[in-house]
Parts: sequence; structure tokens; C-alpha cells
Amino acid sequence: MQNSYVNYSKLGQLKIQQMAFMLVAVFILFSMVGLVYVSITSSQIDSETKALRNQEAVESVKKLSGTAEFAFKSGGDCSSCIDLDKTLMLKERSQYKNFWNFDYLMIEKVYPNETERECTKTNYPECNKITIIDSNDKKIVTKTTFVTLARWDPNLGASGDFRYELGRIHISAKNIENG
Amino acid sequence: MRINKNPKRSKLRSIELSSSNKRGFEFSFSWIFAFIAGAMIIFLAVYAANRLVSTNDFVEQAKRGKEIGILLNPIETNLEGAKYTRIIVPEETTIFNGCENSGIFGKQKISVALKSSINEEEKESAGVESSFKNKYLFSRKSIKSKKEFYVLSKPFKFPFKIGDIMIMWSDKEEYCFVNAPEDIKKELNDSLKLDMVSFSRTSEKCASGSKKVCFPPRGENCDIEVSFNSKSISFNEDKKTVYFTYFDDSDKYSLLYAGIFSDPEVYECQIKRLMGRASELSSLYEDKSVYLQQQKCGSANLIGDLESYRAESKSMVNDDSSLRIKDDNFNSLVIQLEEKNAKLICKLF
Repeated sequence: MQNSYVNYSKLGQLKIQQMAFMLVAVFILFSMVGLVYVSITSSQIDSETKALRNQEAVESVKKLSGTAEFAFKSGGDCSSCIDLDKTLMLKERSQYKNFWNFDYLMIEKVYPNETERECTKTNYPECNKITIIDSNDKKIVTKTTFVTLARWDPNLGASGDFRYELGRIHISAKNIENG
Repeated sequence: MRINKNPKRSKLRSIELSSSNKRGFEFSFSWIFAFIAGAMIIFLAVYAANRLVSTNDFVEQAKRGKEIGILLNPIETNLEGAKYTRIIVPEETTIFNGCENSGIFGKQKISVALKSSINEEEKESAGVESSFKNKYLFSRKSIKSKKEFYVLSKPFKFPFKIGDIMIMWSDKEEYCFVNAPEDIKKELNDSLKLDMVSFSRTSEKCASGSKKVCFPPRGENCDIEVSFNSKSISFNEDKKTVYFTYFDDSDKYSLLYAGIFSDPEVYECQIKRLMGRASELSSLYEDKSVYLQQQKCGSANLIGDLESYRAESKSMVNDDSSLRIKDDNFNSLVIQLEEKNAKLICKLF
């Protein structure tokens, strides 16, 4: 049996090779441009998302004292007052953990100074913070605003009255930016 | 066996030569290959560019949806009886108002579609939905706007504040309130100066194309009819009726306005969500009254009423219609709660 062969043009083969290399080069160039574009776009989206979350946290913290779950309406008109008694009850309600788009929500009593400890029904009001939504992340960055904390004090006045103290709301949305 | 030089090949060569002699066009393999490869590269480039543009539009729409949701935060009321604001958009925008009545609080979903800058056609699919559990947007299911959206925010108290009702419409929808009571005209026209809302004595004087909202006595050619006796809002086009109620004189018309500016389905869903939150809030006030009772407050006599209120409002979450919100027994319970609370030295709400 004898071998068969076909006599191709060497110049033609070279041209096809050149074309193939050219195609591969063009493809790689396009892919690299695409990759750069995707990475720039995704970083832009990431920063825009952070900015939106930051904005959401700032706007929310301003209005939180007006929401039905926190608002103090028992003792007249006070736009920045938080009902601390109601907030203590809110702490134990798991339904509210995902109600706001927050990762962390805490109310802190600033003045008068109290022992630094978390409030429970047993130690209230001899405590200084009520954490409604807790975060496992210890490096969490929060947005803060000052508010008035109002609570019923049975020992104030002849038959008890509302006591007003200085406090702060701390909230955090996911991946919030500092500043 | 030996294969001879291909006779067919030599024949082809001779054809090639003869055609070149006749000034024909030589179309070598490399040219064909270049054309096919070039066409494929151009096709891929156009396809990729198209995909990139649509992805950008999608991202922009998702961003706009979230921004609108965030913009609703400062519009929420605190001590105010009402707040009115305009949201200005840079291009023609459609907002889709999605209401989901699942879980305890349900979900407010907002998505946005922008008019594409390339083909000037509105995208059929909107961007990613942004969802909020603490917002209640009352509007048509989709609101198209050229440049401006209008938002009227009013608190809903029943008897305690449950949430803020956000009523939204756009510069493409005009409303004509026919024979509206003087206090509505005073609030919407004189105090808040609402855009795209006019007032008229008769429906004939309304601008053509405007939605005619007729108040008693019954008018003619009305799109929406309001009845204070039956506390109902009837949509003549959809042949549907929704119901409203009020408790506080200062925020008397919150649900009425919400009903007028909303699609019946959106209104019914948002009422259920509000009742779900009312049920949770009454439970919160129950706990508070138990705690305050130990603090010499005398709040224990509200616990029974709060329990009834919680059960009643919770059962309304599964109702098909808003009819029960104007139920006399339920409304009496609300008034009773308010009266008992007002007598406490340490008010619950």
C-alpha cells in the first residue's frame, strides 16, 4: 500500500496562520477591553450601592423618632421624642428584626449617665442602652442622631410624671460608609 | 496503488486562469475567511454593545427605584397633619407600585422603567424591585410621568398612629374634584396647593382628559364617586368600590385621598398591610400597658380593648375587601380605646 498526499500551497497555509493569529489577537484585545470595562462598571455600581445605603441610613435615622413604633405621643407634641417604655417592649419582638432595612439599631441614654449595660425588663430603667437589632459584626459603622428619651417615672412629682432624658439613636445599614 | 496528480484540481486551475484572463474577480480563501471572521467580530461587537447598554439601563432603573424609595423617607410626617412634595426626574419615567400582602407587615415594592436613550421606546421590563416593609404607597399600579411626580403624605391614626400614607400621582394625570366639601378644598387647594388637582362646581367645567372625582350630591360623567354616607369610593370604569373610615378630625380624609388616587387593588392591599401593622402595634401597647400598670399608671383597663382591637385588625388582613374598616363595631372600639387612653395619667399613645 502506498501513501497518498496532497500538495497544498505553502503561501496559502501561511496566510491562514497569519489570519488565525490575528483573530486570536483581536479576540484577546476585545476580551481585555471588556474585562477592564466590567471591572470599572462593577466598582462604580458597588460605590453607588454604598452611597445609596448611606443615604438611606441618614434619611432613616432622621425620621425614626416619628415612626409609630418609637414616637412618643403620650405627653403632648414632641417631634424628636422617643417613647423609651415602648422601645423596651419592642426589643423583645422578633417580628421587627427585618422591618427596617437596618443591620443594627440601638437606642442609647447619654444623660444622665447610667451604668453601662443593656436594658432588660428587670434592670430597666437602671441601664443605658436598648438594642433592638443586633449585629454580629463588631466593626460596624453607625449613623447617629440625638433624640429626647421619654419614659414614665412613678416617683416623679406627686403621682408620677414623664421624665425626659438625652439619648442617641444608632443605626447601620449594610456596608455603610463612614461619613 | 498510486494516486495520480488530481485531475480535478488541474481542471479547476485552468478555470481559474481562464476566468482571470477575462478580467473576473478573484476571490481567494483568505478573503472569504476575512469576510466571515470580520462579520462575526462586528456582529459580536454590536451584540456586546447592545447588551452593555441594556445592562446600564437596568442598573440605572434599579438605582432610580431605590432612590425614590429613599426619597419617601423625608416626606414622612412627624407632628405635621400632611406633607406635600414634588419628585423631579430627568427623563420620562414610569414607577411601578407593587404591593405584597405576605407575612405580618407585607411589602411595598417599587420598580422604575426609564425611556431608553437609544431606541426611545420604554422598556417593557422595569429594573430590580426595591422593597420596603415600613412604607405604604397609594397610587395607580403604574404611574407615568414626563418630569414630575407628586407625593402627598398623611398620617393614618386609628386611634394611634399606624403609619404614613404616601399618595402619589404624576404630571400626566389630572384630577378634577367636583363639588368637594369646603374643608377638602381648603386643605388641598389653599394650604397644600396640589399640582394637577382642580376644583369645580360641575363636571362640565372640568378640563377634558381630567379624572372627575364627584362628591355628593351625585354628579354626571364621573370617573370616581365619593359617598360620605356609605364611606365608599366607586370607580365607574372598573366597576369597583373601596371603603374608607376616619377617626381623627385633623386627619379625617387620609384614607379618602388614598382611595381616590389609587387603583382599587393597590388600595385594598395597602389597607391589609396597615391593619397587619396595627395588629402588631396594639400588641406592643398591650405589653406597655402591662408594664405601666406595675408603675402605678392604671393602664390595665385598656388591655381588654387592645386585645379585641388586635384580633379584629389581624382578621382584616385576610379579608377580600376594605368593607370591614368602616364597620360600626370596630369604629366604636377605636373610639372607646381613644377615650379610655385620654383618661389615663400616663397615656399609652
